[in-house]
Amino acid sequence: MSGSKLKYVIELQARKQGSYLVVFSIIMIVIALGVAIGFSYLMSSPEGGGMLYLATGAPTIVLIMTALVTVPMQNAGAKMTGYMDFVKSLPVSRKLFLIADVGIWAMVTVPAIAVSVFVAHLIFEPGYAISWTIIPAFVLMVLSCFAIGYGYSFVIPAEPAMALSQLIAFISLMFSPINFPIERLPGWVQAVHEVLPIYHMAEVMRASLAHTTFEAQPISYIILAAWTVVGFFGAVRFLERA
Amino acid sequence: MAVIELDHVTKSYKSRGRTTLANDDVSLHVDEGEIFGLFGHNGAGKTTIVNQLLGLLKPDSGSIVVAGQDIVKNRNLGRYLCSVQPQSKTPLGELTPRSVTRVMGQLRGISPEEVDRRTTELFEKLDIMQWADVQGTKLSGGVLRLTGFCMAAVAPGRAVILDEPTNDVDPVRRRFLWSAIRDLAKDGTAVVVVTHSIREAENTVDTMAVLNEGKVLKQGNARQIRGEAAGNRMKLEAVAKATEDRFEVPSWGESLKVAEAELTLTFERELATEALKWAAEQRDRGLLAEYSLTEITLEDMYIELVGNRGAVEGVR
Repeated sequence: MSGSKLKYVIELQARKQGSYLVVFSIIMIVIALGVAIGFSYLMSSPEGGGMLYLATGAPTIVLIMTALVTVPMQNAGAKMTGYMDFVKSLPVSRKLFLIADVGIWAMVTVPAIAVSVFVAHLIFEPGYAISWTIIPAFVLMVLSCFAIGYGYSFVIPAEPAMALSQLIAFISLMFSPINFPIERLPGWVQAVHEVLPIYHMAEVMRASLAHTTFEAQPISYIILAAWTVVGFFGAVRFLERA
Repeated sequence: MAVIELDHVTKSYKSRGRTTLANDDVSLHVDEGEIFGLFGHNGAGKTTIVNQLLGLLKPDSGSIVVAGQDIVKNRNLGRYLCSVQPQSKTPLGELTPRSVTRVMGQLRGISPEEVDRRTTELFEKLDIMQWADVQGTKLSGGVLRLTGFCMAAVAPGRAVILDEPTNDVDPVRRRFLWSAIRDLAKDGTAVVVVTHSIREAENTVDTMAVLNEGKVLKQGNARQIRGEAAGNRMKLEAVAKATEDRFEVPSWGESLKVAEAELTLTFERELATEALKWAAEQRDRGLLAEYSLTEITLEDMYIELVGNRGAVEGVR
């Protein structure tokens, strides 16, 4: 019953956004290539470990830009135009809406991640070693990322949520150990990142894409799982609340 | 049989330490196949009632029963039992009227053939077929509003709630819309029309309630209420070119009011010829422009009930 209804909710969400989803997946491809190729210009000698950091950081940036920046902006807009009220009045379980939307947006990130890894490999051969753990790791990262994105954009009022999404975009690009080792950051920033999900996402992504070079600690998986639970709890609470 | 039953529903909102009573001991009943008009100006508490029926809000006290199911105890049921046309225009994004109406029908569990049949029927009735496959981003407000009606009406179930259905809709299609609303009731659906456009709704609704500051001021059979309000009286309506104090109330007149450059004078039906003569004289003196004699309407009763503040903010 609810399975067949999920199909209609996916149709509703996918067709509402339509060409925007296509445009966005193209933009994400550009961003991912930008991180891998563009950032290499920042380095004096784009070789060895530094290049591998960029090449394995790009997919994480794609996930963060989608789930923690773009989706929250969309959700804040949907709240302001009354679309969320409409969604809440639909004769379906509201969890289906969350499942459908996360599914659609996760699909949007796949081409960008695949293309950027492929192109970076062709140009730099940074030393990818893709492990089978990429699949469960990708699922965990997608879930945690979207859980947080939906969670904060539903729980926080629209305008501050929009502002926060911009802040996240800036901080994750410049001050997060995604494209460089965490040791380069001041101690207190390192401590903050130990608790926040961004560093752990990057660690898990790196370990999956280059398992011969990097290794993620079990704590990274645990912290991501914890953020997933907290985020989805907040999002579902918002949806189920009258 | 009653499909919607609200009994002694009270709902208040708290914000910044202040409590606003949105619904104050509201009791309403809507039967199968009945069109119920819920009238009131902005902030009267109409949408609060709608949201409680849908289970989006929980009343502080009182009971809400839809099709025999207790919505207060089981709030999730509200949105399954009532289809709603929301007050705001639904942002369709790139969805077309046809695709979104189809999704709504399928979500309500009717067969694809039935969905297509109903969609065609409604679009033809409302004369919006030429926009059936145009993306929502390119549609006008009126067409979006009519699409909202079709989304609620495609698989109406036991109860349909229409919140300001005629806003933004052109006059010709408004008539089609009222006729489509009557069709819904004919099929046995209980229809609640929430509106401040009383003049338009009064020929369609069977029963009605007037809401003001959260309280029901009057409710019952619409025809009966109009009969009581009008009695044996009529009114003269005219464009006033002078202020109220320039007019002398004729001895046969009951009440004379000038508001928003419109003069209203009520009188006993037998005195219609006197009234026309009086109006012609006033026009010759340059105090009035166009004038007409009309029946007392529910809207007149409404304005009398809620006062002129309502007339300025809600009705005009």
